[in-house]
Amino acid sequence: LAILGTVACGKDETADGPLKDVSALVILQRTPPVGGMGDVLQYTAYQPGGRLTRLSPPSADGVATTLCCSQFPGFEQLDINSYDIAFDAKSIVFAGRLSASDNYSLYILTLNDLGEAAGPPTNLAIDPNYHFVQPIFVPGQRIVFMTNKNVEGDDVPQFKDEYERGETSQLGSISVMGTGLEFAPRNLSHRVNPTMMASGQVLFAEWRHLGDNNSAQLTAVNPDFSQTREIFGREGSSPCNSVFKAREVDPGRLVALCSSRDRTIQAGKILDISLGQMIGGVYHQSEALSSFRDLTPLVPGGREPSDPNVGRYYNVAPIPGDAGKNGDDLFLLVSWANGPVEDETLGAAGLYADFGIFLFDSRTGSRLPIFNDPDMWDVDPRILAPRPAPQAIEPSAPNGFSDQLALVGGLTVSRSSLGALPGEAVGVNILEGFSGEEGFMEFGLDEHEGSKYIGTARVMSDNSWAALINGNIPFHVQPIDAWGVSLRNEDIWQAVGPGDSAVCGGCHEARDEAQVIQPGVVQALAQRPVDFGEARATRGLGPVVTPGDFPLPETGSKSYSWNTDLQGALDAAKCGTCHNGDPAKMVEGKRANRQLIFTEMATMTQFTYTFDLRRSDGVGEDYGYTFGDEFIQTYSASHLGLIGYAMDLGEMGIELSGDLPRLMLATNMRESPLLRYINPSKLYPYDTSPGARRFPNMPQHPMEFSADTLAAHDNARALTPQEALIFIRIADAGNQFYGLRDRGVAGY
Amino acid sequence: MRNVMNLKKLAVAALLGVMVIGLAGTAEAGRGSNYSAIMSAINSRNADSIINELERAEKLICTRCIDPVIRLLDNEDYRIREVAAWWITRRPVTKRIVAKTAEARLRGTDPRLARNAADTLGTFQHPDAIPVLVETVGRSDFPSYVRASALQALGRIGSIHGEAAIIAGLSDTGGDARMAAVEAYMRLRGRDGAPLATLAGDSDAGVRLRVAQAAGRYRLEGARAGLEQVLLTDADPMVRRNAAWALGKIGNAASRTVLEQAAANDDISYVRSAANLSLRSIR
Repeated sequence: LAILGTVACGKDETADGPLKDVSALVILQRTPPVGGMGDVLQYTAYQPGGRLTRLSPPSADGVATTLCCSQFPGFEQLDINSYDIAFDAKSIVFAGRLSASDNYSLYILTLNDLGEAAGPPTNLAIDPNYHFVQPIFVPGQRIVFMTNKNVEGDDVPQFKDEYERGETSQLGSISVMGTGLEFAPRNLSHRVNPTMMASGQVLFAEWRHLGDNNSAQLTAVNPDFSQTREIFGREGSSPCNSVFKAREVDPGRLVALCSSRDRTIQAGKILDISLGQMIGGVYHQSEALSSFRDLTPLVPGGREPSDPNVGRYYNVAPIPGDAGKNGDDLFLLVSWANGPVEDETLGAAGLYADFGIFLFDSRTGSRLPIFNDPDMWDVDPRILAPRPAPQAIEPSAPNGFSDQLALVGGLTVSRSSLGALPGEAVGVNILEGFSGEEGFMEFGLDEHEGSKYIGTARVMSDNSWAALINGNIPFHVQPIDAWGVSLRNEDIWQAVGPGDSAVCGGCHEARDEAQVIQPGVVQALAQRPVDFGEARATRGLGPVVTPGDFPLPETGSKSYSWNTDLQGALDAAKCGTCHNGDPAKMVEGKRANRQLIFTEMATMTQFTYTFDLRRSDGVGEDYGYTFGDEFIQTYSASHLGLIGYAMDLGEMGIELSGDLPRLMLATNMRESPLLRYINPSKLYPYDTSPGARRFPNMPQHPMEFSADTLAAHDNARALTPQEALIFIRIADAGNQFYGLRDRGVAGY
Repeated sequence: MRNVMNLKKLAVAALLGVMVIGLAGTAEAGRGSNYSAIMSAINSRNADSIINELERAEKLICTRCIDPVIRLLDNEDYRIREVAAWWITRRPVTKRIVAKTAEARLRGTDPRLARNAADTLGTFQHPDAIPVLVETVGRSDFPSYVRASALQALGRIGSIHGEAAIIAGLSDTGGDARMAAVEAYMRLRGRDGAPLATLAGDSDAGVRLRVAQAAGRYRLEGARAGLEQVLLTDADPMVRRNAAWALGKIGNAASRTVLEQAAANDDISYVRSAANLSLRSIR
């Protein structure tokens, strides 16, 4: 590799190679260093001087000419984020930014018969208030792109990314004439790098962030933004945190980059991905059946600096047809840079990656140089030639119940590739996500995003469930048992457009498995599903909707706030009379307040926390836990006491000791020790008799103590079913501290 | 409840200390970050490196890192100031101290420190900072870039309690402050944009650019005449493009003539194409 990587490739070497029938390549050249690249999902980086270059023939002695746009007035400071060539190779769409004060906008460059610019590009001028990037042509004379413009309107702030800093990019589409603008329902984090598949689906990478899940994976959606499907990267299928910049080789086979989420200048190793397997002579596709081959095993899969002559790959593109094949192996067009290709190492040396264009042979691992301008990043090579248009997918049928609301549901709630549910599901909780744009920088010690409860849909006798919810919102679901406790947490956000539907066969069913939905046969769809639609102005704060035949002892709140709701329940039940931060407190011979001891290993500073469920008036002021001059976080004493050492303290350089267990486990009240103390009454059907409790005939804490003891503690009592439900909902939502009501503003 | 003590002062057994130091030296704290990595990034003076490293250090417990990061609040690169302030928002004790210092700086006389303080408070996004930021918007003794930073901070906080100062900022003598006021106004929710209409023909190209964007977003009929003038005469093609787009969003057929002129005669292709698209939308 070290030798081959430095061997130049002259015209003779490609004359009979896989590019012999290719007359020209288009290459995106950007001026290094392109500042602000950030993680693999960022999209706003700008440096003037970007251009599209035509290389003909595609060999080391080919002639490079500027295709666009320095020859046209007004484009002197242009940078280009990305581009795509039309199926007939007669036009190019690109995302261009005219200056630092401009946003990326979409431009179409028409080509003449010689593959040269026929004139200056036209601007689709969608909305200069927002970025429009990464455009691709899709069938039907349309363009799919990514944008930070919000499908919910200008007055609704776009979601923030995982760090609550950058605005997320979302899917949209428009006709090549600049009409018919449409936006996809939003993910809670970025979506980037769209590309077409022969099936007509749009493949892209999206940042999955829900609790511990924090990575980029491949997802596909129809061009009308219906029928979202996971493709690759989840369920342990990827060797890296993030998989991105995918391109289809053949149906069922992709090449993609794979890397740490950050520090690698949006470059990584190359994976050859198979999306399915032959089983019994039939080809099946599903994430569980997918597999990969690492074509560049020497390239680090993480964020560490790469070795000399190993480098990293910025783009990978298949060469179509037999010319791209080398047996089972592939010839690929790649953009590659030598050296560490790691931002900190390069930054410390005052250097930048020098990406050039190469022909990569996966059989030998060799790279044959095609083009490299040492003063520019040479990236995203594409063959300038017509290509077959993917099949057009008909727009999805409306859900039949509402043009304004999205239909969500499942045909068989208990069916999942993740294994059987650990109990009988009687309902499905639906939760809506939000992010830092609502004014919170943190949501709680477990670091789950903000979410609010939308409602609980009943599971019918045939195991189906369905509900109508607002479209365009990220949501996730949790089947619940008869006590309202989550049986499993679906740890991805989904979104469905208004009038559209997302009714799955089960959780994680195979992609090639048809789901036959027969209204009138599926019980949940036999009549209008429960309607959880809400006006934005009151969303999250309105009354809980319960189907008439599924009565619940609801709390009346959809947006649970620790300090308002959960602390209110603790106060009402007088929990703080015993659990008062006093390590010596004994109740009928039992210690009431155990302790946690945090030790910062670097400074040997120690902080001891004693269990305390009393209300804190100044959140964080008195109850934050600190090392030297620094707090870890500022939440109330009860939050720390019940959530415990939820953070990954080991990675933070903190050791934990003491005897206080974690009482509330995020998204897992079912296995939380607190559940035994609460011992909730049955909700479905509602039954408060001792025999119907979650742990039948066991006491509900503190009722195991004598009447005298309880009287001595201000008549402390057990939680009511409504109060218990608050604990269950907050735990299963991710142990959140802040709810929408903490904003002090109705709606959002 | 709180019982903070320093084990060093308690002279913990040397063996334990050695063990702990050994462990700490090999551990990579936070999400892949540590003190050395942060210092390496800071010393590189590379904005991307610093931003990435501090993001990774979001949860890092590192008291040694606090002073170096606080010093970044006075870096000349706004992106570095911003990420340093963001990192400090994760450390509430430090944040409170820095916020107090920032308030004092805004009430002082050093314009550079005041600008940096306003940027810091803007990243903190805490409404407690609104009063001092409002005061700063009224400080004519400061250069306009300080008031611009204060207006930007009010926009980031996005509270209605900053609205009066933001609207006052639309009349600032400095173009940078007026532009910041326009951007801050657009961050307020539920507004109709009316106060922006008169700025369509502002003397500052940056203001005209942003006002054209705002006029399209709010469909500001009151800005139409100014936008039509801008479309035909502005020296900046991006301003003309945005004006053409905004006129299409406003959608008044009376703009047809100027849009047709721009579509036919403008020297710049993207102005022509924006005008053409707008002509379609007002048919």
